[in-house]
Amino acid sequence: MDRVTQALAKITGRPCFETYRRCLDKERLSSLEYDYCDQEFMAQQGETIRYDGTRDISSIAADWAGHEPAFKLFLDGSRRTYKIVDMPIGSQVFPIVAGQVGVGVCKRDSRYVTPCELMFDIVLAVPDKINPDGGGSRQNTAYCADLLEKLNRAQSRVQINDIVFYSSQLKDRENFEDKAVSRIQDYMIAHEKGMVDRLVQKRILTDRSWLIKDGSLEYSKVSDKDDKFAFNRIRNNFRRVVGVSKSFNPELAKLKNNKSAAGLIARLQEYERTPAAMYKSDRLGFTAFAVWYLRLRKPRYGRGPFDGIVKVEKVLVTDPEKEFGLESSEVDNISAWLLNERNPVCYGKDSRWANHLYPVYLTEAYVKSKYRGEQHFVNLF
Amino acid sequence: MASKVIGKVAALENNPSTIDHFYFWTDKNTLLNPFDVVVVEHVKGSKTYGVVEEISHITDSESFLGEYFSNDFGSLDVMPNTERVGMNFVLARVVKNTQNIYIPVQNGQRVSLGAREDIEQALGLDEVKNKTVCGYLQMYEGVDGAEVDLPVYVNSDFLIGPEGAHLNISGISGLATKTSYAMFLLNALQQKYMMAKEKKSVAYIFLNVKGRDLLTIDQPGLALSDFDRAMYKDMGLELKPFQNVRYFYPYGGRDTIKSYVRPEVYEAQCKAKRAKKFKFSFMEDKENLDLLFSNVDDPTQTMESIINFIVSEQKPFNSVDSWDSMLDAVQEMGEKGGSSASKEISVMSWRKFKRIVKKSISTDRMFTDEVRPEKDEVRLESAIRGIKPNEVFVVDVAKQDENMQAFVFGAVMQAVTRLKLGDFDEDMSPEDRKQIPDRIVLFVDELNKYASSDAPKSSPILRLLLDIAERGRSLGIVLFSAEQFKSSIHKRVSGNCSTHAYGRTNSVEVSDKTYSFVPNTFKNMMTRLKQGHYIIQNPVFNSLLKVRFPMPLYKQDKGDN
Repeated sequence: MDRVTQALAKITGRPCFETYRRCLDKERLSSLEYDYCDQEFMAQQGETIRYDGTRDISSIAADWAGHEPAFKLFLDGSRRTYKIVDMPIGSQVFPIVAGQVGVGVCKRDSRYVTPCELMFDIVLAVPDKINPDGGGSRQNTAYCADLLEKLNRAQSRVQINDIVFYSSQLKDRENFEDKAVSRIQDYMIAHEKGMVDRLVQKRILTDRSWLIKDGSLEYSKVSDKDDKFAFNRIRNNFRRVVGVSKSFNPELAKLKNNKSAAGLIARLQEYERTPAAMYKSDRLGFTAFAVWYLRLRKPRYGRGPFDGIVKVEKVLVTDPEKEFGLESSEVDNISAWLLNERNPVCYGKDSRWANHLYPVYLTEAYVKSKYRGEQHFVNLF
Repeated sequence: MASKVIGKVAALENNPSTIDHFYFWTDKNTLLNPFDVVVVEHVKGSKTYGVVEEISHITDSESFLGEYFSNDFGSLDVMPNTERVGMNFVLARVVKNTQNIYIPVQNGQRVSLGAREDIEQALGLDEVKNKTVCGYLQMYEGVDGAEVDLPVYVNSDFLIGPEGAHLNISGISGLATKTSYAMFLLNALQQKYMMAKEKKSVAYIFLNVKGRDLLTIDQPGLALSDFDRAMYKDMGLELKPFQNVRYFYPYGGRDTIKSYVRPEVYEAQCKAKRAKKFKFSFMEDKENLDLLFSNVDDPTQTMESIINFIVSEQKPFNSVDSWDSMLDAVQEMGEKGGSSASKEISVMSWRKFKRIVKKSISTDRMFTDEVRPEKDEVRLESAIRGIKPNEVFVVDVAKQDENMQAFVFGAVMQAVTRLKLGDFDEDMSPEDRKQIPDRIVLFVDELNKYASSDAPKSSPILRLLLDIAERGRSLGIVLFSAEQFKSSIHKRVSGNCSTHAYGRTNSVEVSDKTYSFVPNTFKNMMTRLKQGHYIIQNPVFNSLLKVRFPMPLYKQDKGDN
């Protein structure tokens, strides 16, 4: 049987150029450090009570401390991308990028974290020009499905779960590798949403079991414009989901007079939160969010002023929420629950320990434990 | 019963599986003990057996600082919502593979607790022939539904010969119960060899060196606990004390004995014709004179020369026929200008000899020339010469001083060696010669007094012990010995023991290089062993075994009065 690259060349009728097979994430780590679609916000009030300054949550957190924690589910999506081969199409050369994509959920029961759900896929990102007939998204989808079936039939070294197209149109300083990685990232996000949906369907994600999602909830808009019902359902699924970002760009947060909110965030004292702001964008998957910052640890224990601070997001689901923001008591409670998640820490294991939540860290570790080693993986192709 | 899977093999870059060892992880709440046997599925459908050596618990916390941070930087009241991830990892030593495949076990293979047959196979217990029970093994203690109790048998060919011989028991006084363990083994041996089907004949000689420890070994002991009874039953032993026991007490003058034995016990033994008073007469025991010098440093061998002088009956010793006349002759030799003084041996040496000998001979009444059989008196050598298969001789030396104890022990060893070498054959009838046991087991406690690594090289007792340790296996003389600290025993004595039993000891002892072959966890366990628990080493076993034994079946008289 052929190798994947040989099979690809045969099926598409295009020769492949052997290339230096490598993990692309190491080269692109810095550009993806912040949530990729972080936007300017903070100007509009995102909670029902207007607070002019920061708010100390420690007493609320202490009240909750003896109770069963509301957060029982922790979700993390993770992907690794590898350049496998170069494929010449016309006068251009396009990279074929393979990705290992994992989305895992861990649940906590009686203080112990155990795996709950896991999806782990191997995805191939190929240029859309690989389809000689071109066409719209439906034709591309059909072509991908056909290519996938042929590829898996032609080789047995690796079971590829999906093939995605990346656009062969470049803007500004873009390059094809970034575009391929971005499509694999989209694939991961789609599965994160799918995972939340699955948890809701299985009645695992309920009023009594909230979920912390590692990273931002500011997903790109769903591509399928026809499926409005699906989108509404997805939004409802996020009723009990909170996005917690370890890394954020504080300069993107703007106050009313367009002043940066970075100073306000940096001056947060231990266990304080900023007022929640509302953030709306049609460009994104969800139209409205409540966003606020919370300091989990004293600033002096971090490496910089933003260490120990997490960015918290909650999708505004109902119409009143979208109009008036989240109930301030809910913002307080979510903040208090998050504060109570501050221990233990993953000090020594992760340089972002001051911003990390331990169960999320465990979920991340669980998903990453499923990755195949780099050398092994790239040589499967 | 399906094996209970408890973990999986983890072969890491830094801690790979090897031919000898492997690691596996288990849940942190899985109960497991050092010495437990685990089973790993291996290639070609074989099973590899391992013995648990070390159990470590780790979490994902990289440093103590991380733990401090995880408690709000030192708060004692923090109770985090999430328990830190932790697990146990276990180091196991490979002891056997069912198909003799010794490539390392592979990562991810399931590790399970063994069934009884697995344990027997792993430890080599299934291949033991000529079984003699040596303890009771309890595996997976505390693991609900998985506990396995089984008797441990040793091949008696490796315990009392001819394949291997000698047993050494070490452990600190009181807590190790060395004498009890020795008696348990010896009782098991006696029960085994009393059976008609056994071709080999064995007899036993015990030295009672402390109190009344061994002076009632033919009397039934106190009521046993149900567990002890069950152990005896499982081990196939009858609940009866030693049989055919005869006691030998040192003569104490005026028809008395020098012993701690209770009068009523002695009386009963006398009535049953099982007690004798032993004596040493000059004419027949003078060759044992050197045994009085076992703790005397004699670098120039002058004492030895004097003894040779006396034993070879050189003038004036040619006319000596009693201990008193010998002392007179020695006195004469030590007098300055004495007419018959040997030119080779200085007067000072004769005087030194006299000092040492006189102290013992004139104060201890067992050095008496007249032996009266009608008064139940006997020469120890004569008694030993008549030992029969399955008989147990208990020679009591508890009340004697250290020198006299050594002398008697030496005399016993000498007599046994001569008996087995055939020195007495000429004086024995063919019938009596047939009755000489194939094996004579000598048991002595406080071996460190006689075979210390610091003992003078010229010590006659050490010489005899070395002879028995090195040649005893082929001669049929087996030494069962006990001492507090094995490290203080002469290497040639302990090195020739095929079986070793380690009772509770202290940390100074286990730090000695004698224990360098013992894994650290086992060493530490030796300092925590409970009463009645022993770690056994025998060439037949694939690993050290931790066994326990029941209360002895004989009456243990440990009272002060």
